[in-house]
Amino acid sequence: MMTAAHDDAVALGRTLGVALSDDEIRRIAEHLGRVPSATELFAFDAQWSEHCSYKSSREHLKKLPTEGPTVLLGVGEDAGIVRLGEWQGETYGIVVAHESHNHPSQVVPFEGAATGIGGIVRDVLCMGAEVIGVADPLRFGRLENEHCRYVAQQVVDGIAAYGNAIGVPNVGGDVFFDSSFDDNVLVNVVALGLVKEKDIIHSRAPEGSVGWDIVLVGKATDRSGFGGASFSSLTLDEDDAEANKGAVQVPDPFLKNVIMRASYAVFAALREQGLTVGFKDLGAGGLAGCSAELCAAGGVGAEVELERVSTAQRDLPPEVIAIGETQERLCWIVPPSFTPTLLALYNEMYSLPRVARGACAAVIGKVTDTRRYVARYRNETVMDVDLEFLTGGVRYSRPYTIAPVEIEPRDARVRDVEAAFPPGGSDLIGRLRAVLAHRDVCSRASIYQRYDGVVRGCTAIPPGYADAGVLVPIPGAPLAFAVGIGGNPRYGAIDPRRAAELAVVEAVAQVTAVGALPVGLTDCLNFGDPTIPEQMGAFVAAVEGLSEAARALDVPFVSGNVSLYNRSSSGNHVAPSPIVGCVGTIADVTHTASAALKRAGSALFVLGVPQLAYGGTVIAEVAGLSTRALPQMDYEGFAEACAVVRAGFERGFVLASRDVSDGGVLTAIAEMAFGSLAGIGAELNHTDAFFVEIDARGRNWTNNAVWFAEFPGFVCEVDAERAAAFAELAAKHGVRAREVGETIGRAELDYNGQRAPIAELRSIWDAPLRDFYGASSGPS
Amino acid sequence: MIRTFVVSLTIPDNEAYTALETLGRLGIDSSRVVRADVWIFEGELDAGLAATIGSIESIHNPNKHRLAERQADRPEPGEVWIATRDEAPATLVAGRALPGVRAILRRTAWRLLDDQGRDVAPAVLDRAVETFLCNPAFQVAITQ
Amino acid sequence: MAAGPRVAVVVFPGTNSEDETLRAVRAVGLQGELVHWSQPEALARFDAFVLPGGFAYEDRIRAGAVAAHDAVMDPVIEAAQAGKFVLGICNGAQILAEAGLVPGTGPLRLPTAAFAPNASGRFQSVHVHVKLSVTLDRVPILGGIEDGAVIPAWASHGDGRLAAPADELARIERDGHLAFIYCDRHGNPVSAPNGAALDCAGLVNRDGNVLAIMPHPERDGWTFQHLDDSRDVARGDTAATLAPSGGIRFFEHFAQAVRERFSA
Repeated sequence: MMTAAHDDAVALGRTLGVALSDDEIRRIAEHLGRVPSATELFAFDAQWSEHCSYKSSREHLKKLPTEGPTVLLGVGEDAGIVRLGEWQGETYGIVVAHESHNHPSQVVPFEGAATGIGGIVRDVLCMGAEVIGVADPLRFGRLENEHCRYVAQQVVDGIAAYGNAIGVPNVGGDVFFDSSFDDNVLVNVVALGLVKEKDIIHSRAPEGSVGWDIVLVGKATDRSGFGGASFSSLTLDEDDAEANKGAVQVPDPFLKNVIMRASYAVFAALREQGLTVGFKDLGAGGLAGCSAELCAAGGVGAEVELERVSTAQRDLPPEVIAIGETQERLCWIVPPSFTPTLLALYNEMYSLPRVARGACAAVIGKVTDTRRYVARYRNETVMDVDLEFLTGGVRYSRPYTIAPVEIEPRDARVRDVEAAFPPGGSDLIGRLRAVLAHRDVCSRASIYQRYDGVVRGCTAIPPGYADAGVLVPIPGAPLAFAVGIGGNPRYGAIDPRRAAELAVVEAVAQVTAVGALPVGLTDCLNFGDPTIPEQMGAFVAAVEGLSEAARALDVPFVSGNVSLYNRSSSGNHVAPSPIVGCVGTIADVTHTASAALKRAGSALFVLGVPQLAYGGTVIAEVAGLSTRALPQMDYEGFAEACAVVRAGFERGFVLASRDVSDGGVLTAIAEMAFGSLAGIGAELNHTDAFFVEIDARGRNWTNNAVWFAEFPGFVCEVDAERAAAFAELAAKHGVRAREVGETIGRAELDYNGQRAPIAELRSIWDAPLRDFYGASSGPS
Repeated sequence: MIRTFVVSLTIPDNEAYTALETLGRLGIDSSRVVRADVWIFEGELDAGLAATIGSIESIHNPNKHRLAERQADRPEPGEVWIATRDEAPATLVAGRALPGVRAILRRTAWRLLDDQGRDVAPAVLDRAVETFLCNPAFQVAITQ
Repeated sequence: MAAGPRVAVVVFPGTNSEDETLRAVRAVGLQGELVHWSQPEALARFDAFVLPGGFAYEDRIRAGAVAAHDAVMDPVIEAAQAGKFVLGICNGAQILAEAGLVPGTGPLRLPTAAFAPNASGRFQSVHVHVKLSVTLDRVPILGGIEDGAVIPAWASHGDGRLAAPADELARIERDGHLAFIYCDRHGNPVSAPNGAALDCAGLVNRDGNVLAIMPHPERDGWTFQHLDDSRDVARGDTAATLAPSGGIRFFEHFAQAVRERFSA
């Protein structure tokens, strides 16, 4: 074809404002042998966006381990599935999906965050699963900044408004505040579903589906969300923010509530008839993107009549009908014999048209054997492309540089810590007060109390009562699972690779601290502009870190998401933020427990080995340490510590546990006391037992700062009568377990005679976010 | 100083549609129900107030809302405003204080139209208020 | 299975707590079934009704207002007037107030009280306890409940603040409509977390056959859901951990009332 036609195509692309590069448009024109239509250009724009195609990230993501005996369905579809266990002769799986809605949440935070939940819930639903939980990792800018305060409020309101209305419990998540998020909030969401292995529905046209119906279900298509996929892959500029608002979809959780329930009824009808069908949610790329991916995955083609799509506005142009990202829509591929049942369930039994104007299920096309995607509008063909070319996307090998991490000499680290914590003791309780008030440590109650954590009646441990939320998803069955989240931006800013390793460790530690066995990981990789080699390098390093940790701990990744271009026009990139979720299973819910101290007289154990590595810790910030050293990883030792904690739960030794994270051991113990309904406190009297091993020859370095060290490890409340057996168990696993004190029947923290009432410490811990988000109340 | 803003939807208003259907069940006939949020600000208000609230999503989301200023802080003829009884005026919106604003009041405006697009008779509107639009246990209806 | 009383759990568009409510109804031995808003005619064959939590009709106009006027409520209101038992939890409680069934001091569907937006203006989900605060003769719907019974539950709502004019509040208190108040786990009264007048957590009608309760006892109705010592005590005992307890007592009393009425 002549270059002139390529130029026409490029000119059209620029007029339409697509984000495709000139080269990409030329490739499309070359392939088609003509100037693409507007609909086609928008379709490629969405399909070839970073968001859909992972064009910068895919070659690196291949490094992640994704297989193992716990995987029922690995990466490749909308969500992965891990094995929960067997019950009454059936194998059950937990569906795990992870998504970001960062860019929309910066522009319209309420709606952006709400839509984030809406989108991920569909990813779980379309696997044939019941949606049973969500968890939100959030990264906000500094609350001293007015706009950041606004975003932080609206994001939480948006999550609450959507999640509460659809009746899916919020079972966890985390929140960090950091200046690198001032211009780019991170709103990630993990969604969880329950499905029997034999009832999994795949996101593809099944074998033999040529001639079947393509059915679109949900909200009437409108102009909202047009251009969303490529929008989420653009750098945010303040001026653009106003113009970009139209690219964010308008969520309707009420309609979604009904669509979810109607879809469950469809699942039941399919089981009854023993049918295998295709089901997928409409996300980035809209109707064309979704139906194209369904058909491409099945090796078939599609013919779609766009005028059959229910629209909210008259005369929507075909490219909006085909590509627009109107929320609350799903696409089925079913045999024509089943179509009447499907339509009756959505349109009559669940009366979608009554629930929202224009909402319905309607046949909009047929599956063909052409391997082409053909869309017509009013008898005119507006799209006719090869499916593989459309959905295969493009790949980039972006240049990257990984910044070397300098190793600080040990002497310098010792000097740094001793300047703040002089040898011979210091006011530890005073330090604790400052740590408890730190923005990344203080109570999150006023956030999670805005979310319904107990709807559906399957919650065994609600958010805030332990490191991980626990659900018992099958009524009557003892099978339970936990969800943990890791990803500390203070570590990310220092060393993306180590931060990624620590994110995996933290997520695994959280589920372990409720007695669960980690069975699957999910990641959301939030980074800056990949066209900048240092930012791309941070991404590559983080993926290597995730891979190493997951392999070492033998837990596969089953789903994930990548969010790049998290930078503002002023060049403020987000701290490299690999955020990791971990699902852990508990064979019998009787063996789990909240993190609250349970009774007086128990032994308090610390498991794990603290290191002289205070980089990125809360105490470093509070005490003004300058070190940037992060802990060295000892995966074998950590895995053994996890095994000890799990066995401790199963054998009834461990009454409560927390992992050692932000704020260290002393903070963990204080938080365990805050959760106690019975007013149990702690006396820490064996303080010499707990120290940093300074070198391989076993030389020790004793310093109070160790109480705030952050390292892979656990605090456990152990039944007094089983303390010796627990110590023996740890020894057998080669795990260092030190008894540091005991629980007491008065609500007080007593460190070698330095005392503070639990109520006073708790009020310090409660205050910062309560003052920002409004009143919260403690356990009743 | 007092300034009054009215925020209405530019996308289909499901709530107004539901009100229309429910009123129909109650035998109160109209062809269209129009609903809007009313925001009343009191204080030493600066000229930038409209722009400020226009950028606060919980008041005005440009994806789906239209923002207009009203001259009066009272309903127009044919309109009823529903307010919370003994409403404690807010001072913050989405955790944010607005320059000069001492108090923020919220109302929901309702209007019932016949098939000619005219306001229904006042008695019909009254009946809609008494039987459905206002729960007198905690709300008050304000008309002109 | 011998024919026993049948209980309908009524589902509106936007309801979200139907499954756990049905589970609680069945756990106490009642024949529970979900009945959908598109099937009002099916309600005629039921002996008692439960309106579960959620956001019926998206809380449009006001929480519970549209549902109170829905056709599916016609048979429920008729049944209530005929003396059948009707229980509303959370959104169900809001619907009963909007339907004028509780406190039931005025005409139907002209509410005299409301579960209005929380004082904080926000949805809040917190664990609470509620305490029976009327004499036993006022709550025949809770057969065999003991004086001052304390029930654990979750208050998970955005609109749970009892609001009514002063004379109506006085009537609610004086005439025994204030069925439940908030309390601590020892039964000591505490302020309502939502700012409710009279620290009200639940209202009952004049005949004691219609009960509206804001917190959800069904969400703390099994040992594994408890946050207190009772769960610690069950550690290691699978059956005890999975057994109904705590908030389920509320449903046991409801079941006792329904069964007694049915066999009478």
